[in-house]
This record gives sequence, C-alpha cells and structure tokens, in this order.
Amino acid sequence: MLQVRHLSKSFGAVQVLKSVSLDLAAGEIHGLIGANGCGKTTLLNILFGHPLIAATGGYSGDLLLEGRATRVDSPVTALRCGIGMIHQEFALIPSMTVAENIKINRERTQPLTDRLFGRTLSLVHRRGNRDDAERALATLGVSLPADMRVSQIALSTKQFVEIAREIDKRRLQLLMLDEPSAVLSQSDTERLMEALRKLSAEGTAILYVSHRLEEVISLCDRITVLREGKVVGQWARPGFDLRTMVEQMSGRQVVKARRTSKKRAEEVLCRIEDLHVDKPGERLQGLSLDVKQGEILGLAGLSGHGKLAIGPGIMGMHPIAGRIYLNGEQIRNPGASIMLHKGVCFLPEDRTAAGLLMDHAIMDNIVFTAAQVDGRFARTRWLKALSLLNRAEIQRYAQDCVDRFHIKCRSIRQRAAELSGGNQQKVCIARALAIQPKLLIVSEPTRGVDVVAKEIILEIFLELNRDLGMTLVIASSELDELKRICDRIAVIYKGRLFDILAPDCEDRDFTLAFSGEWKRKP
Amino acid sequence: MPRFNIVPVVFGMLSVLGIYFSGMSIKFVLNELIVRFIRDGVMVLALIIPVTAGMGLNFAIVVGAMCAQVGLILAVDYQLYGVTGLLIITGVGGVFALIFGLLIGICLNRVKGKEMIATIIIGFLATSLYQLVFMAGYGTVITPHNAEMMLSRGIGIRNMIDLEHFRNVMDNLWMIDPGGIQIPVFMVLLVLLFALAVKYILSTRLGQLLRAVGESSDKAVLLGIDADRVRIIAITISTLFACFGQIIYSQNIGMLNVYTAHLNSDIFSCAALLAGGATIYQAKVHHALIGIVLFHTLFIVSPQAGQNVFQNPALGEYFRTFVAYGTIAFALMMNIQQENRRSYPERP
Amino acid sequence: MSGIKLPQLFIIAFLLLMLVMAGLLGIPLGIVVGDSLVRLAMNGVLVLSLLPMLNAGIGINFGLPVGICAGLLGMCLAVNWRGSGLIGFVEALLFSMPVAIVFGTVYSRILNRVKGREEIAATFVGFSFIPLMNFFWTVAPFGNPAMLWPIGGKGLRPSIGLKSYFGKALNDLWAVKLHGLPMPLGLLLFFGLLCLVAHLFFRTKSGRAMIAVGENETFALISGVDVKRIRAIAVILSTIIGAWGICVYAQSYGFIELYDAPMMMAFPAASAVLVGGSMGHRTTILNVILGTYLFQTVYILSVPLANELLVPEVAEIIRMFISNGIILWALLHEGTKSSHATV
Repeated sequence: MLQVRHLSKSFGAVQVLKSVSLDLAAGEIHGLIGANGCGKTTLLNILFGHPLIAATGGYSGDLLLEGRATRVDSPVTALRCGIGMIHQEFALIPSMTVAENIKINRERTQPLTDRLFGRTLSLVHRRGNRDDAERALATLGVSLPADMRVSQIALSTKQFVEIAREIDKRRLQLLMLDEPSAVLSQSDTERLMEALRKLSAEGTAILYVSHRLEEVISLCDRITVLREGKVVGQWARPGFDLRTMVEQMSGRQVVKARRTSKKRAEEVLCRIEDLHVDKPGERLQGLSLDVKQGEILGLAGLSGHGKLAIGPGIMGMHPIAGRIYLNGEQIRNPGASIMLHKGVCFLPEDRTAAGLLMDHAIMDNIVFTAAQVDGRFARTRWLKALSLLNRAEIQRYAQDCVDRFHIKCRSIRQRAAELSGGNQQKVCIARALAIQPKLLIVSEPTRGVDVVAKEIILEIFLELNRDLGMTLVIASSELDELKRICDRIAVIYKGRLFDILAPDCEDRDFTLAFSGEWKRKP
Repeated sequence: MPRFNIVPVVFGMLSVLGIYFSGMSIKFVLNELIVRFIRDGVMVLALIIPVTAGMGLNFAIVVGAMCAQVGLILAVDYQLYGVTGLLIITGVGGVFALIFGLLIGICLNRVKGKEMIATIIIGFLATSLYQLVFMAGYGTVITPHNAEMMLSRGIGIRNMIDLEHFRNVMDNLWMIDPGGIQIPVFMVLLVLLFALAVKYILSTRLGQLLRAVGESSDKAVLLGIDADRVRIIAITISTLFACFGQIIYSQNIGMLNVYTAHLNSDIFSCAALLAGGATIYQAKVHHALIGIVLFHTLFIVSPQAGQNVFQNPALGEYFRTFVAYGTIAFALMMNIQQENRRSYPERP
Repeated sequence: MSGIKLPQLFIIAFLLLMLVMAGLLGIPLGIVVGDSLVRLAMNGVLVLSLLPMLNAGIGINFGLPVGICAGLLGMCLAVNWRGSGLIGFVEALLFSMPVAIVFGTVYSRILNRVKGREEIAATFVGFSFIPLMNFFWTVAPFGNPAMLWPIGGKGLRPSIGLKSYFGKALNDLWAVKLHGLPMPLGLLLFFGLLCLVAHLFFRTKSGRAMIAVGENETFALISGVDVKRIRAIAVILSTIIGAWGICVYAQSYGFIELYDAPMMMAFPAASAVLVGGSMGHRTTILNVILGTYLFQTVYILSVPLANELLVPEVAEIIRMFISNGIILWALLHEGTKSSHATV
C-alpha cells in the first residue's frame, strides 16, 4: 500500500535520513525502532507533510501510495491521501470540547444550510458531531461525555481523543503513531493495542514508533530498525530477536581512546534532592543525585525524560522545586547569578539560541560572563556598573583562548555566527573558563559538531578535569562519548534517576536502562 | 473556565456615577444610547471575528470605514440618491472593503504576533492615502461631477458633505414612541441582524476553523487547516462589516466629515467591546452589545458630569478619552500578562 | 553595520527627487542645509531616546508621549519660576529628570508585564497618558499668568511662547556663520555630547548587558544578568532622554505645546530611526543621526514643494504616509525574517 523508496532528508549540513526504503501493506502493523536521533520522527514528519520539512528544503526520494507516486507537502495533502498522525505533543485544542476536537474540519452540518450557503458556512450539527465522537471513542473502549472540554480531561484520555480523531476519518489508509503509550498506564496500553489490532483488521496500515521494545514486539507484524538515518534491520513475525535488534539499534563502534582511570574522590560537591524542573518537553519529577568532587558525571537517557533539564533548572531558567546543596550548603532560590558566583557554570544545548551572542565578536563572547559576574576586564575599580572595559586585556585573553583551544577563525573580532559548530562550542567553553568554575554543567556538548572537533572538545573536558580539578556534569545523547570520558553515568528515566551505570557496561544494558527495563545484576 | 471579568462591572459603576453626577434624565440617556447603538453597533461587531481568529484587536476597521466613505463620496459625486443610491454605496463600498480586507489579511500573515501594532499603522497609512486622494486627487487627476462638494479653490473635497438625501431612507422606519423614548425599530433590528450574522458565522464550520486557528495557528496547520487562509477570511469579513457599519453611521448622522469621520472609530469600538467583558483573545456577540451600552453611557454623561463636578466640561471629555484609551491599555496589560503566564511558565 | 536596504534607498531616492524639484523651482539650497542641521539636533534627541529600549529588545518606544510629558512638565516648572536664557533651559532639563524617572519607573513596570507585545501596549499607555496629563494641565496651580488662559485665568494654555524665557537659548549659544550659513554650534554640540554619552554607555558593563538582553535574553539570563532590572533601566533611560528631547525641541521651536500635541510624536521618531537602518535589536548612534537627518531634510523640502503644487496640506499628509509606510515596511520585513528563522 505504501512504498518508501530512497528517502533522504538533511537539515542544513546534517543528514538525518540516508536513503531509507520500506514497504507497508494494507492492514499491516509496522514498528519503527531506533535510538535517539536516528531519524524516526523525521520520517513520520515527511510522511505527514509537516511544514517543518518543506521549510527546511523538502526531501528527496519517492513515496508511492497504492502504486502512485505522491508528494506529500502539507498536512492537507496527507489528509487527502488518507494519512493520519498521532503526535507526541497532541494536536488538540484545549478550549474546545472532545467532540469538536474529534470532528475538527470535518464537522457534520445541517443539510439545509449546506444547500443555502455551502459546506464552509453551514451550521454545525452538534448532536451529529457528538454521536460520531462517542462512536469513535467507543471503538477504543473509552466512554466519555463528548461535550467535555479537552482542557479538563486526563492526559491518557487526551491520548485516546487524539486517536479517536484519526479513526473517525472515513478513508484512513495509514495511521502513524509517535510514542503513543508514553503517557498510558498498562491497562490503557492494552486497550490501545486492541484498538489498533481491530483497525488493522479493517485494512488500515499502521506505522508504530516506540521505545518500548517489548510492546513493539508484541504488537507489530514487521519491524524496521533505524540507526543514524539508515535502515539497519528489517524483521518479520515470528522471527523477532530482541537482543539482535538492540544491537542493531546501538551499533558496534570502534572505541577511541578512553580516559585513564584515576582514584575517585568520595566527597560530594553538589547534592541534588527531589529536584522538579518544569522545562517544557523535558520535565524532571523528583531527581536525587550526588555529584562527587572532581568527577566527570554523565547524564544519559531518552530525549524528553529530563536529562537536559538539570542544568537549566539549576540556573533558574525554569520553575523548580526541590533542594540543591553545594559543598553542604543549601542554595535557596537558585538562579544564574547565585550559581555563577558560587562557581557553577552551564553550557546550554542550543548554542545559537542561548549559548552565544551570535552577532557579537568572538572576543566579546569569551569575556562576557566573566565581565558581568566577576567584574573582570574592567578599567576602573569603582563604579563597576558603568565602567568601560579594558580592550587590550580582553584582546590578550581572547587571543590566548583561541590559541589554546585551536579555535579556527579569521580573527578574534569575527562574529560568532560565522564559526562552525565545533569552534562555537570551544568559544562557549572558553567563556565558561573565564570565571574559573568549580562545577561545569554541559548539555549536548558535541551536538552539531564535526568529528574532528568532537574529539578535541572531549579532550578539553578531560584536560580541565585532570589539570584544574574541575567537576563536570555532561548530559548527552551520544552514549559512546559519555562512556569514553565519564567516571559514572546516571540514567534518567521518566524524570527521575533510574540507576547509575559504570561506563564499561554493555551498550545493550544502556538501551534497556533507557526504557526502564534493565535490571542490575546482583 | 471563563474568568470573572471585572471590566464591565467597573464600567457599570462608572456609568451609574456618571448619570448621577450629570443630572441627566434616564429618558435622555436612553434616547442617546439608542441612537449610538444604531450608529456604532455594527462597527463593534466587526471586531469579534478577528479576535476569535487570534489576531487581537483589528484597528484597521478604519479602512472598512473609509471604503464606505469612498462609496458615499462617489454617490454624492454622481448624484445617486435615495434607496438606489444607498444600495450602490453598499455595493461599491463592499467591493473596496473586500479588496482591502484581502490586502490587510495578506499583510497580517507576515507579522504574526504583532498584528495589533500592524493594524494601527495600516490604519494611519490608509488614512493618509485616503486624504491624499480626496484632498489632492479630486480636481487634479480625478474629475468631479458635482461641483457642490468641491472646495472653492477647485482642488480637494470639502470638509463636510451633507447627506440629507440619504437621511430619511431608513432612519425613521417603524418608529415607535413608548413614553417619550424614540426607538427606530427597523434600524435596531438591522443592527441585531448583523449581530445574528456574526453569531451564525461562529456556529458554522468556518466558526470552528476560526476558533482552532485562534487558539493555536501551529496546531491548526497540523490538523490540516490552512491557517493563513482562515486569517485572511477573518479580516476580510471584519473589514466588510466595518464598511457596512460606517454606512449606517453616516446616513444616521446625516452628514459626512470627509476627513475625520472614521478617525477614532477603531479606538472607541475596541474600548466598547472590551467594556462589555471581551478580552483580546475571546469576544462574543453579547460582549459587543453590552459593551456598547456601558461604554456609550459613560461617553454621553461625562462632559456634563465634568461640568457639574469640576465646573469644567473639558475635564469630563478628558475623562472619557482616558477611559477609551485606558480600557484598551488595561486590557492589553491584563491579557498579555495572562497569556505569558500560560505559555511561558518558565519566564522569571 | 547594516547595509543599505530598501527604506534607505527609497528615502534617498525620494530626497534626490525633491532636491531636483527644489532646484528647478528655485528654492535656495543654502538655507535648506542650514535648516537641516538645526532640525537634526532639534529632533535628534527625541530619536536618540528610542535607543536604549531598542537595544534592550523592548522594541520601538511608541509610548514616547510619557517621556515627552515629563519634559513638558519640567519646562512648565521652569517657566513658572521664570527661568530665562540658558539657565532657564538647564532648569527645564533638571526639573524634567526626576519627573521622567518617576514616570519611567511606572512605565517600566507596565512594560514588564507585557513581554513580547511591548509595542502595542506602549502605544496605548502613551495614548492614555495624554488625557491624564490634560487633566493636570487644566487644574494644576501654575502661577505665571503668561502660561494661563487669558480669560478666566485657570488652566494652562495649549501653546506657551518661550520668547521671554529660554526660547532659542541653545540655538543661539555660540551661533556662528560659516560661509553665510548659520551654524548653531551650541545646539549641535549639545546633541553631539548626548550622542557621545550614549555611545560610551553602550560600551560599559551595563550597556553591554543591555545589548546582550536585547540580542539574546536567555543567554543574558544564564550569564548572570538581572534581565528585569536592565529592561527597567532601559525604559527609564528612554523616558529621561525623551524628556530632554522635547526640551531641546521646544526651545528650538519657540513654543511649549501641551495637551494633545505629543500624541503622535512617537511615529516620526520611530520612522527616523528605522530609515537610519536600525535592525531590530542592534541600533547604533549612526542609525539615529543618519535617519534623523534624512527624515528632516524630507520634511524641509516638502513644504515649499507642496506650496508650489497649490495643495499645502499635502506636505503633512505625504510625511505621515512616508513615516507610517516605513514603520509598516519594517514590521513586514522583520516578520518574514523571523518566520524564516524559527525553522
């Protein structure tokens, strides 16, 4: 029914999908699995015609629906082709009722006004809508008064409303689900699977993306494994082999130089107790963790489970609750200013959005935080707020950093926006160093950085730790990097600490830990 | 859950105080109110649909008003009076309103998030263009057919055009007179008809689309809705209604202040809508209807109240100007703050 | 430094057109040049006042009337106590400052609640401030009869002549003639000094923090900058400079204009800075000076040209048209730019 042929997609310089091909028959439930960043969501977005795809240069490759070559360039086209999607962040309108949401853009109308004014200006038939909605929900085994507002119903119910909206569509040929069971309980998930089986029996093809491998294995007819944008495995029932699939997902890579083991200090530098951070998309719900003096601690886990929220939370970027202790002393009202003064610095994952002043020169970026927080580089000692800065000193220091970190640039006056990703990250590190922090928290340090610069940055981290005794906390989705340089790796699952693994654990252990399915061997 | 809105209550209290201090009779106030309800009703109704579509207050309804005035001037120019004249004005004005509504809609789609400030500037721009055409265009590039409406120097239209020929076409139809209060029933029904039209639109499929786009343009796109097109439709309808509203206004007053009649129509209409309890994110028909009563009562009694309390009617006028702008400022403050709290809870 | 874009091209082309027409109609250009320098300094301070808020990322200060009213009050106090000449002018400046600080603080609190939509809120805060001040002008107990209504004697008159006070005080200071062209050195130096101070401010620690907040608020936040405070300072600075701006303007014009006069003053100032090439959040002194100069020269030329064409009102209408057209263009241009940036 659906044939994907050599689908490729790049976002700028990064190629996210590399010539992916797969087939889907009518009524087939097809699972799509792979690690973070392997391209699953991008594939779904292309099939759905998400505006982001068109806005970033479209895709290459062919999509054949029922043998006919189709180009899906907007959700409108997708809908017309009978493609529906259950989004991870629901596409529900909170202020409207369940029925209105389920029937949006396809409402039943009064036949009289249909004839008089045409479909668009025809009066909505409220009872008809309600009946349709309740019927769709019944198929899913959910009974719910359809005139409740979506803002008032539970999260798991919202999931079912989202699904009901798609199955109410008459010509639904393909239904795509992106992590549908993430918010569902065990029994709700079973209900969902039942409904999907029923749907597939009626001829709708289903594309099911999930991290819950056991689920995928029990539900799907066929499974495709993606890694780094390529198809690395295709499986059909009954030949599923979980262990091999996991290996395919994580891949076996040549391990580069590891850190030399050293005597580990047991002193706690930073203690985090029951931390809740409300960062949209990455919520922490009660994390408790100790960061030991002088260590390099890795934070790993699936995206959305909270590993990227610790840094922003501590720096006051989002509302938080819980307790944070530095050297035994509790920090009340943690925020950027206090943390910086106490020697804690944070490098955000989105360099261009929050890590650099893109329109400013390299040298201005490097000295900014130090100048603001410590008053370094000031010309005058009194009236700090209005003091001009010592340009000569700044230039000297910046040039020093450029040389030390091998920052490839025309001059220290070059705009940060013109540097490559790796060099930008080096500027960020130099900026953090200028305040001589005791604890450096980094999110996704090598995202968007080329292979060569990656190694240099990792080396820099090792150097800082070794020579300056700096404690580092690195949150990253690149597991192999964490394994190479960290002393311990904490796995964050569903907003809490799942367990702390040693860096020499097997990849498959990590993969299972990420889904909350790993059990520590006694 | 609709939050309790204190604004209508405040307006209610101010109106009561105002009536008391002005010493005006209820009968007088009611008569004035009915007249203003007819004159300004449709203008206020024109604001509802853009608010529903998430575009905020449409200050560019002045453009719709100017379209109506273009129609009126053309009618006077070609000396088309009576019912025919009125129909032609409606037609011509309507066509202009559709065209300009479309243009404004296209503009606003490029300034998402800053629609309100854009509509204010568009309003100013349109006013300048309009003034250019009628102050410098007529007599130079455009040849007038009716010398009576031109300035003595031959270029430019007079400041004021008499609309006596249109005045009694529909104004006094079905006039009833209960206890000294004059109610032109036809006109009142006409305004209510427009109110019904707005209510109708909001209960159609289009209405659902408007609400979806108004809540979240991005989600609407994911649901397969052409959000940009819906927004253009919203502004076009708004401009059209504004045009009709201005026609009703002008023929009711009986004369046209060519260069100033449309000025401030946007401010007062927005203030009236907000006075009735609407927010910049949600507006219903009853907000408009209640708001006109509340706002205009205050408007009517302020100068006299100022005279009685401070011996200076100007103070009463300043008060009501402050109320008009202040209501909008206050609504903006409250609504934007609420919206920020909702979508950016992480902002310190 | 921003390159030459459409608004600048348009204005320069328009200006050249007008110069050609003026030349053809025999309007003496020498006077035009001299006049344009005066108007540059006269209006320049008001345009300069937009700089802090633009750099802090708060957008165009459409609430400039707030600052202007502070300045008007300062001047009225100076006139009330019969300050004359240069001393009177300095008094006006000094009196305006505390008023501007108070007004600015309240204004900044309001703007802090409307993050993301400051411009529209500022417009209406400015608009609603005017009737409040109108109330004040009507009832305030000023003593100098030259300021009050001749009949009745209560309430300030809408236009207060400054000839016997500090009218032209700065204009006449060190006024020389260069090759027959009148050069108000005092006025130009004052404007130049303010520009220099502004330029230096943005090179201080606080100034840099302000620019960072405007360019990338999240970055500034995690670099330890007190974003709320910096934004408040930006608003207060804008208000103070706005107050001084109207003082400079009024002394040059020769009249203090009260009541509804300040209402639309924000828009020409905004267009001037946009014409000068202001790019959203990074605006420089050069933008201010260039923009004001171009804008004012258009103004100067428009009057005699319009008179020649027999329709004098057209001058004002065309100015408004250009003014608002530029602002709209800037909004549209910024809109398409940011929509491309989000993806």
